[in-house]
Amino acid sequence: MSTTATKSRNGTTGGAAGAMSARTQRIIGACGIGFVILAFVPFFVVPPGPPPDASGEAMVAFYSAHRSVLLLGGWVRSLGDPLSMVLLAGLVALMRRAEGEGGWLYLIFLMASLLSVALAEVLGAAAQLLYATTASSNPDVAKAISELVSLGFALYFLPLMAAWAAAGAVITRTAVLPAWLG
Amino acid sequence: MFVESGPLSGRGFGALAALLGQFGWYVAASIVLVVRPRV
Repeated sequence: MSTTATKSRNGTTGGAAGAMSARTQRIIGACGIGFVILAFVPFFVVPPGPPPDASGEAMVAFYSAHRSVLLLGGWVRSLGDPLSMVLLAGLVALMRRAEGEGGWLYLIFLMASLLSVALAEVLGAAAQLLYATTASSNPDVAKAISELVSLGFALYFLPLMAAWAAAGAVITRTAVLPAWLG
Repeated sequence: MFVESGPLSGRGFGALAALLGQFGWYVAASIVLVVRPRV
């Protein structure tokens, strides 16, 4: 197993991943795959929700009818959260080493990823609250929480754009990951 | 505009594309780390 540091594409040695063993990286990658699988399982077991412009009464009827499977889907998705931490921490560590002394783009990736994860957690909690309490709640309250989740979901992608831009810049400047991922 | 059928029905195309892009990138990076660790 080689311990040669990865060289950046401009010819300088970035020291990418020099201190992270191949075994550790495989564990990080496996956690990343597990995270994505758990995140996508709900898409295939949870029925599609009512359209955003549905009435509060229609939302109450839908969430009440599918309460158990919606709650289960939410919990399954949550199981992937610890795995996502492993993946993101591993990617941040790889980028930090690749950037070397004075690197700062990895910090953007770290902060933006953390922000999106935090937002996803809050939205996930709000969605679970919606599923759990809809049957006994006011339709207007159910619609308000549903719209909050939808709006938050749109905002969720803003920090991710910064994360991807930073990751792309690091990847294209160094060989920390294949160029096609940049 | 929403996907009209299948397990992803009822979801907006834009959000769906962004989600697939995000998770696709995660999967690709993960597979790279598993198959070809950065040594």
